[in-house]
Amino acid sequence: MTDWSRVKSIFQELIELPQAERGDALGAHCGDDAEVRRAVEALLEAHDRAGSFMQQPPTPQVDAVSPDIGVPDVPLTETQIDGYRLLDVIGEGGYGTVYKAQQETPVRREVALKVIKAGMDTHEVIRRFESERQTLALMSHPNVAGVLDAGTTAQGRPYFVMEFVDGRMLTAYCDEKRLSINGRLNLLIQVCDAIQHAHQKGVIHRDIKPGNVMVVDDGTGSPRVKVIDFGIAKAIEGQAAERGPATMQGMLIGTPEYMSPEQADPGRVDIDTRTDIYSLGVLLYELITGTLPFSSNTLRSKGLAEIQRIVREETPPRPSRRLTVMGQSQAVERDRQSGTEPHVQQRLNEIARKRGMDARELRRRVSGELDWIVMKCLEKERGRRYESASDIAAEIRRFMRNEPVQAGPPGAGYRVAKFVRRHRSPVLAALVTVVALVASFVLALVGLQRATAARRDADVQRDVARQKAEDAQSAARRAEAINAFLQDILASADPRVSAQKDLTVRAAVERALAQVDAGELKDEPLIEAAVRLTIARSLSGLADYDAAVAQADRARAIYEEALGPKAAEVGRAWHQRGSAEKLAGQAAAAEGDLRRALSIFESQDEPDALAIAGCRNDLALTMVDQGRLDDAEPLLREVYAFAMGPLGTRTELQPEAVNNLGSLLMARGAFAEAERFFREAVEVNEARHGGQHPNLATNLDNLAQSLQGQGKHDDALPVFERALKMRRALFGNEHPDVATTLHNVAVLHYVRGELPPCEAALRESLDIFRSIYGLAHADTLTVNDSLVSVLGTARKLDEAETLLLAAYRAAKDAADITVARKKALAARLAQLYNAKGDAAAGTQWQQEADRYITQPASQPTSEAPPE
Amino acid sequence: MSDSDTTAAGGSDASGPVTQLLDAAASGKAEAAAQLFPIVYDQLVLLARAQMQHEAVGHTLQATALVHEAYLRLIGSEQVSWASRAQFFHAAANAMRKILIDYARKRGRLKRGGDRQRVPFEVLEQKAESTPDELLSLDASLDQLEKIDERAASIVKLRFFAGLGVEDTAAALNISERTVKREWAFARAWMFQFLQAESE
Repeated sequence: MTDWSRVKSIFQELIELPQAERGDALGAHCGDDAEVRRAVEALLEAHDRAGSFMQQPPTPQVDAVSPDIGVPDVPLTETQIDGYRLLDVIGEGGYGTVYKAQQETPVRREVALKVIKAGMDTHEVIRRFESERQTLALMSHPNVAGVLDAGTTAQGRPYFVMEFVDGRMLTAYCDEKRLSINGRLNLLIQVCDAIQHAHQKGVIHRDIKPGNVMVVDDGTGSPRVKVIDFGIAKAIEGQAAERGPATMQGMLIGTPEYMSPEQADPGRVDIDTRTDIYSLGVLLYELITGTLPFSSNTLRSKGLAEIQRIVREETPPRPSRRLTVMGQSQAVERDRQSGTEPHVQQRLNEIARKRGMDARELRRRVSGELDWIVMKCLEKERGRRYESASDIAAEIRRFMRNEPVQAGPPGAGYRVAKFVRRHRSPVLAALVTVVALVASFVLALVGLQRATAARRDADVQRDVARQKAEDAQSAARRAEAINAFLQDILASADPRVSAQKDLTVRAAVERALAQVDAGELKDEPLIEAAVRLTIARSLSGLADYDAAVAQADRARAIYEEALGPKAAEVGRAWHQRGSAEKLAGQAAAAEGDLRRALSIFESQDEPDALAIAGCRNDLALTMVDQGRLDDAEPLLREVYAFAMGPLGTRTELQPEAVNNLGSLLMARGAFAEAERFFREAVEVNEARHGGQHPNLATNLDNLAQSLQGQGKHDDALPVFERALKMRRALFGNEHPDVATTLHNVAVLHYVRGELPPCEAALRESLDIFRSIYGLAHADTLTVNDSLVSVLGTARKLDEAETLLLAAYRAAKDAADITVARKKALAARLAQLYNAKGDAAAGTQWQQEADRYITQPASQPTSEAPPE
Repeated sequence: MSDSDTTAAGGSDASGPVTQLLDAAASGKAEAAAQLFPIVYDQLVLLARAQMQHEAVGHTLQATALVHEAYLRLIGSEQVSWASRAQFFHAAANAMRKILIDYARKRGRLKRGGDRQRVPFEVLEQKAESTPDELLSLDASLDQLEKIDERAASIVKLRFFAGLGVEDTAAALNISERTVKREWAFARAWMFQFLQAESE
């Protein structure tokens, strides 16, 4: 029995000695106890060889969180960061240094690498980042620069890796280009879009300022905004917030000019999306007036407490007032001391000139509605700010179209949608405004109970509000829980979810539905309709298409009664219904509904171009489903043209539009042209998501098919394999997308005459489809057909027979299976029996097949023309 | 107080009882410590499940993040004593270990399909993900270590499974930071050579 305590103490003593002295010490300590000596030697060897063994928690992705023990304390320069080659310093900020760097693996690309300066608790910063990494990964938006990675430098400083944005800072860009007010507002709308997207994904930026908003101008006349640094402020500031006011200074030193009152409140920890709304207001203020609500000089000359007080308590002058004061202060000054440099007036003129107007024009332009919009963003009480970034964007659009804005002059009351005004419950107000988002769905659930109570009694409601404010900590936690929950809902709104995942989401949806059905919202029909529509979307994502259609119908009925049959909302309900039907494989019915939706969208006084494009896209896809490629192509080309259009919002459709058009071209046999589109799509998605993403996998699968179509079989195979690997990694093995790629690979093997791998892939594919969709589904039947063919080629006729018979039985009475398909199945059975030498069965099945010839005309409609 | 108040309605906010249990455990009440484990365990499983649902790419339980998140959820920002905090992390380390190992067992069973080769032990030095097999071997070696040196084993649990830093580990065990480092070095070397001997 080894004396481990002795071994241990010798070992521990020896490892603190230099290598050279260990041998002697070992002899001295162990004497002639060979067993102890061997054990110590083995441990010493292990100690030297263990490298990073157990240096990381048992978590595959947290390589950044390696504990600090055992890391050699050798000074290294910062040019050495694992996997990245630092190229240039591109910025120095309050938090650290930003480098342009070259990433070597897994993809070679340029990135921006932000190394946080010393003094932060690396472990904590990285931990916070890790805890938000998955949320950040959900963001995918043309105006959002993704945060790709985080880690620790050899010197123990945290670093963040971001998409490299080759652009100019927002304010500098606007001034250099002398952008008009409208030009600037258009860029701010893109910023709002980015922030809105982040909020929908549960990410709060917390540090919106010109330095974090870049403009990329490729000279095409449509500059693109990129908001950077998502998630970083939280990772860095979180710890400060957690440790209380003492370290708040570190946070305040960041950017007090753009900080919201709640961020400036040392006792406050429940920062929510509305902090970003405030900062967007500061940005807007700066873009239009060239000055800040509270000037940097004022703020930075003050002590910490004073800065906090100013931000929290003082109301900044509204933008037009600021411009007026600038003009006057100069006048006063000039009167008093003639000969003094009239620098303020000069500055005002300069500001106006950079906006392509003179000072008076600028003041006039800003005065009134722009003032109101800005001041609504800058409300101290966050409940009075805009509810969402998209609200700001919508408001700015109204302003640019010369329509009345929703913000009003301060003090004159706020024009909110009238059913909100009737009940000023903050919860309800939030609910109403955000129901349009899937995100709101959960909020709605949380708020329902409270909203109902609040309606009963205004006092109770105020108490609830106060209590809510006081209960900040738990609210923050709840918000987190909601965020987490919300991701599920968002993920599930996508049909590409694995079957297992659905359980909890389904439960949530059902609970929501139960609450709505119980009449929780019966006094608020429009909210009820919006919630039902959201539920319909989720149900559709959960593949419960009948229920989705039913909910869409109920929403539509409510909208029709309240708003009339031509309202855009009614169109949305039709669209949702059509989408669900399309997914359910009922293409003809879907087409009808989508056409209704489209005609409603198009007949609006102010047609919503994005809604129209989205609807056209879906409509075209139902046509493709029905084999009407000629009808679909012009629609998809229109959608593509629109998606490539100048506005940031429009490009959301881009990856889908590129992919769909490519698919259509492929279906028409234009493989070379299709290849071009798919390569474009791969490029777009690789740039956006790096190595792995569901859309990227789809693009790759399609690209491989288009290569195969051109006979480039050797090129196609590795692309398929990459797609397959990616899909397995993303969805697990039991997923329709995995089954689809398996089938496609099988077809390629078949073409190449490689039957064994072909058969194996088909079997796996069939198993997956059968377990997910059942046999009576177009996709399952397609794979079944393929496998039957392969088995036929391999003369495994008995198994082929079994498969075909089962398929025919399942398909025969299924409403969603086309007549042509049923006929083809029967005909194949006839062929099979003939091949087996059973002529009688062959004839019998041929007759069965022939039965379908006389029926197709009467199949789609039961209405017989009168004689 | 009505009867219904005493039931953990939905279990959404159990921070009160947890803090009490922590205090009790910290003052040496063994049964309190025992009661703590299932609460922390449930919370961790819940968090892990939620995380895995968002995580399309295989299994990436982030033990450290989970433990700390569980701490925030169960304790919130309430000031708890160091001793109580230590109790929590003890419970969390044990719970996390159980979760990871259960998961590795399950996954090892499911994944054994020839689609993944057993990674040679040396490869662990890369920052590659730890495979279920490796985790199971690690766990087995930890059991062995516990037999010969309980303190070294508990340091492994706290540092490795609960993701505590040296400082926190020292506080949790009421020993000096230097001791933590020395014990950790021993535990690591011991487990490493144990596993190497196993794989030979």
